[in-house]
Amino acid sequence: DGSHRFVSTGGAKIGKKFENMNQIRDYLSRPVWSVHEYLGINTKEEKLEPPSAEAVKKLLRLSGLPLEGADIKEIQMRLAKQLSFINKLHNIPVEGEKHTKEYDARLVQRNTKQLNYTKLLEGISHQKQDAELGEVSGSWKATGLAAESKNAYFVVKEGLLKNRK
Amino acid sequence: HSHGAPFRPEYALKCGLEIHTQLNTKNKLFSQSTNSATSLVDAPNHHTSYYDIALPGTQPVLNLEAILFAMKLSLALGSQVNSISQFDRKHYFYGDQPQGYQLTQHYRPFARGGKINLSKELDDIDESAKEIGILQLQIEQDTGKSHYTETDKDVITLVDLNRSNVPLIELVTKPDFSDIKQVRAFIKKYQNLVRHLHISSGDLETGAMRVDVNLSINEYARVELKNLPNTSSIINAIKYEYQRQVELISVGDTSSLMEPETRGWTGSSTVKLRSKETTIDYRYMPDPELPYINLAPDVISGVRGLMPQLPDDIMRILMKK
Amino acid sequence: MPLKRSLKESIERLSSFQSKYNIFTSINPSPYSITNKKGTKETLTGCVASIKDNIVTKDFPTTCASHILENFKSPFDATVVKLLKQAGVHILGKTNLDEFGMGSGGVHSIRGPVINPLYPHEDKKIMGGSSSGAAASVACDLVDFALGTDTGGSVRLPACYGSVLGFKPSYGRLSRFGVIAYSQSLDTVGILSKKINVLRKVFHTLDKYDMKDPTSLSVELRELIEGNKKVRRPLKVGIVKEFSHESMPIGFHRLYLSLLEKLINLGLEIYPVSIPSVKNCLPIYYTLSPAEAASNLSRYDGIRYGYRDSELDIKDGILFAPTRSKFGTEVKNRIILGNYNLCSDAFKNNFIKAEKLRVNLIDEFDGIFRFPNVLTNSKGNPDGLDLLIVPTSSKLPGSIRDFEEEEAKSPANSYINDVFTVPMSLAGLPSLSMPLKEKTPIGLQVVGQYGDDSTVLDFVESIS
Repeated sequence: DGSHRFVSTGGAKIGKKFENMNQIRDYLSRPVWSVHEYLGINTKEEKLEPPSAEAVKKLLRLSGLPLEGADIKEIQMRLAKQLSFINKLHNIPVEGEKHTKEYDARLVQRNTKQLNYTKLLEGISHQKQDAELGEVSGSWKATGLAAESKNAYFVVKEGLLKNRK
Repeated sequence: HSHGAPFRPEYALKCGLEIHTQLNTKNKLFSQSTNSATSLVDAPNHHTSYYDIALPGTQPVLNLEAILFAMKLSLALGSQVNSISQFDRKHYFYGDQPQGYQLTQHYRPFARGGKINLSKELDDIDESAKEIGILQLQIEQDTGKSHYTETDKDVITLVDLNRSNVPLIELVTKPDFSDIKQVRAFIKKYQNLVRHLHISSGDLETGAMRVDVNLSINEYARVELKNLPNTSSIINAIKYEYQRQVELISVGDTSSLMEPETRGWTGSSTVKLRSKETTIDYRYMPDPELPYINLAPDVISGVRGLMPQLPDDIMRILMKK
Repeated sequence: MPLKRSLKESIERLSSFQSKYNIFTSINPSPYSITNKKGTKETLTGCVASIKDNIVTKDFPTTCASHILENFKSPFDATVVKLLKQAGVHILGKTNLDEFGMGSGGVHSIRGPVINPLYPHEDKKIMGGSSSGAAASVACDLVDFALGTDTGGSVRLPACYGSVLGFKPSYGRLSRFGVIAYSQSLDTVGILSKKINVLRKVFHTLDKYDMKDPTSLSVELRELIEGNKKVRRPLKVGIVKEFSHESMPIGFHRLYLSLLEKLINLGLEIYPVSIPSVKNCLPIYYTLSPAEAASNLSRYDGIRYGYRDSELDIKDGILFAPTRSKFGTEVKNRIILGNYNLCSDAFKNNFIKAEKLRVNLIDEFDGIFRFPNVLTNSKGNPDGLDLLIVPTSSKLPGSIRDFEEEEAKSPANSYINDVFTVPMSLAGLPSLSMPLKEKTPIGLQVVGQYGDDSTVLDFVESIS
C-alpha cells in the first residue's frame, strides 16, 4: 500500500493522514480493482451449468408466472449469468464465522430491546384501532378496489374443472 | 375396543397431531381489525383493514395480546419459551391468502417442548398414565375463507377475508399416540385447557380449532390426514387409514407407503391430495420488517401470576376430598 | 434566487417538459395544498414537490409504472406524503420510475424511459434509475424537491446523472408506511433537490418516528443519536481504497482532486481507508434483494385491486398466472431469480451466507467510524473517521439504446452500475450524492456513520 501504514480495525483499516495533494494524487492513481471482475472477464472460472429446463418450469410455477409463452432456454441462460454473478459469494470466507449471526444482518437494533411484563401489559392496553389504517369494521368497502366482486365477496375464477391441478 | 376393527399389535400405530387454535384476542394478529373469526352473521370482508387485504404500502404491526395468550398456553403445557422468536414468511398462492405468503414462525418458534399427561382416572385411556410430548408452539396468521360455487360450466370461489390475519397457535405434538382413545382424550383435554385459559373457544365445529393427523405404521412413510372437521371424523379417519395401510402391508403391496403423502377425509374414506413430488417448496424467508420478539425473563413470572389453577390440579383436589 | 418556485409557473412549463423527457406518470389535477396552517410560517409552506410513483397517494393513482397497478388508487396517503401535505407543500405529480423500483437506467417503465434533460440536443440519454422521474423533475426546475426511494442507489444514481443533490438518509429515519416494498431490509425514502437548505428542511419535516412502520427508528434510539453528537474538529474524511476503480468517467479525477484540495484548504484531514467487504457487496445485494422482491410481489394477483385478467385466474394449473404475466420483463427476471434464491438449497447456501457477509460489512464500517452505531452498539473508533467520500457512478449516462443492448447481453452489465451505492444501502448509512460541477453528470457521495445524517448534511452545506 505504498507509503501508507494501515492501522487495523477489524477487517477495515485506516491509513496515515495524507500530508499533501501529491500523496492523494499518487494514491488515487493506483486503481485497486476493476468492476469487471464481477463479470468474470478477468477470472477463469468453470462455466456454470445453467439450471435445467425442469428447474426453470418449477421456478415459473413458484413465481406464479405462465409456462405458456415463456422462453425457457432464454431464462436458463439468463439465470446462469445471474448465478455466476452471485455465486461469487461461495468463495468468500465469513469473518469470525463462529460469532457472526445472520440475524444481525437487519438494520434494526441488534440486541432488540427486551419486552418486559409491565411493557407487555401496557402495550396491550394502548393498542387501538386506527381509522387511517382502515381498521374500523365497515368503515370502507374492501371490495371497492377489486375489478370483480360478488355480494361483497372477492372472486377467484378457477374456470373449467379440467383446468385445475 | 367397542367400535370398529381392533388395533393389532403387529401393526404398530405411530401418530402425532398438528392443532391450529384460533386465539380470541380482541384484534387481529398484525393489524387492529376486529377479530370476529367465528361469527356467522358478519357481512363478508367487513373486518378487513388495508393491511388485511394486503394493499400496497401496508405494513404489519404485531398485536401484543397474541404474545400474552401464547405465553399462557406455553406455561400451561410446561413448554420452554424461547427468549427470542421471529416471524417467517411461508409462500404459496391461494385466493384466501392475500399476501401470497403466511406469516408464521418457522426458524425460531415461540416455544418448544412441553407435554400433556393423560391418565386412566381422569381421561379414560387404557394405560394408567400416558405422556404426549409437544414439539413446538408457533404463532401464525389464519387465512380467509373460500366458498366454492360450482355450476356445470365453471368453478368460482368467493373469498371472505374476515378471518384473514386472525391469530392462530399451531401446536405440533410428538408422534406419541399409539391408539385412538389417547387421541380422543388429548383433543378433549386440550380443548378444555384453552377454554379454561380463556384464549380460544376451542370449538372444532366453528373451525376455531382444526386438527391434522400424522400417522405411520411400522415405520413406513408418514401420511398426513387433513379436512377433519370434528372429533368423529378425526377418529374415523385414523381408523380408516389404519385399516387401509394394514391391508396394503399384509398383502405386501407397500410401494405406495414408501413416500410421504397428504390425504383428505371424505366422510367415509381417505383420498390422496398430494404426494412428495407435488409438495410445494414454501421458501421460508425471515420477515424483513417485523422486529424479533425478545422477552424479558419477568414476562414468564408475571404471566404465571395471572394463570388460573389448571383443570387437572382442580380435579385431583376434588377427588382427594 | 428565491427559495420557492411559483406553482403557477411550474404548471405552465410542465407540459412541454413532460412531452420532451417523460418525467411524470400522473399530474395532480389540483396541486394546491389545502392546509390549515396558512397563517403560520411553515418552512416548507408553498414549496412544490413531486412524488415517486411507488409511494401511495390518495389524490391520484399509484402505478409503480407497472401494468399490474394500472389505475390503482390508494385509499390512504403514505406517511411522508401526509407530512408534506400538513407542511403545506404543493404536490405537482407522481414521477416515472423503473417498474416497482427495479432497475438502474430508468428505462423499465410501461410509460417508457425517462430522458435525461442534461442532453436536450443529443441522442436520448438515460436518466439513471429507479427514481428517474424524480431526478428529472428536479433537474428541469419543475419542483423545489422530489421524493424518491433508494434500495441500492435508486436516488443517488439518477441524482448524479441529473447533476442534482440526492440524499438517502439512514435506514429507518423516514417512514416507509405507504412506500410500496421492493426489498424492505434496504428500502429507504430519499430526497432530491438542487438546494441543500431545501433538502435539509424536507429531511427535518420527515425525520420522525412512525408507529405504522415496524422498521421506523424508535424515539429512544433517535435520542441516543442526538446524545452522541459532539463537535468533531477537524473533520476526518476517508477515501476508500476499494472504490478506486480503473475505469472512471473522463473529467472525474480532475473534479475529484480539486474538491479534495478545497477540503484540505478548509482544514479537513484526509485519510486513506480500506474496507475490504465492499468488494462483496454486489453479489450480497443481488442475492438478498430479489428474494425479498419475489416475496413482496406475490400479493399482486388481481383479485383485490389493480389489473386483472378478464378471462381467468388460473393457467397451466398455476394460480394467478394470467394476471401476473403482465409484470414487465425485468420484474419477472428478478422474481424468478428471487425464488431461486429462496428455494431450500439456495437459501442455505446463498441467502444465509449473504446475510453473514452483510454483517461483516456493517462491522467493518463500524470499525472505521468515530461516531457510535446505535443499532450495533459499536462505541465508535476514537481514532476513526467522520465521513467517507465515494464516487457515485463509474460511468456517464449512456444512450438509452446502448443501455438496453448491454442489459440484453447480460443482466450483470446493468447490476454493476450499483457498485458504489450498494454498500451504503446494505449498511443503512446516510449518503448524499452531490454534483461536482453544475449541469455535469459527475457526482460524489458523502457518507456518514449510521444515524449521523446531520454531519453529512452539515458538510455538504459547508462546501456548497
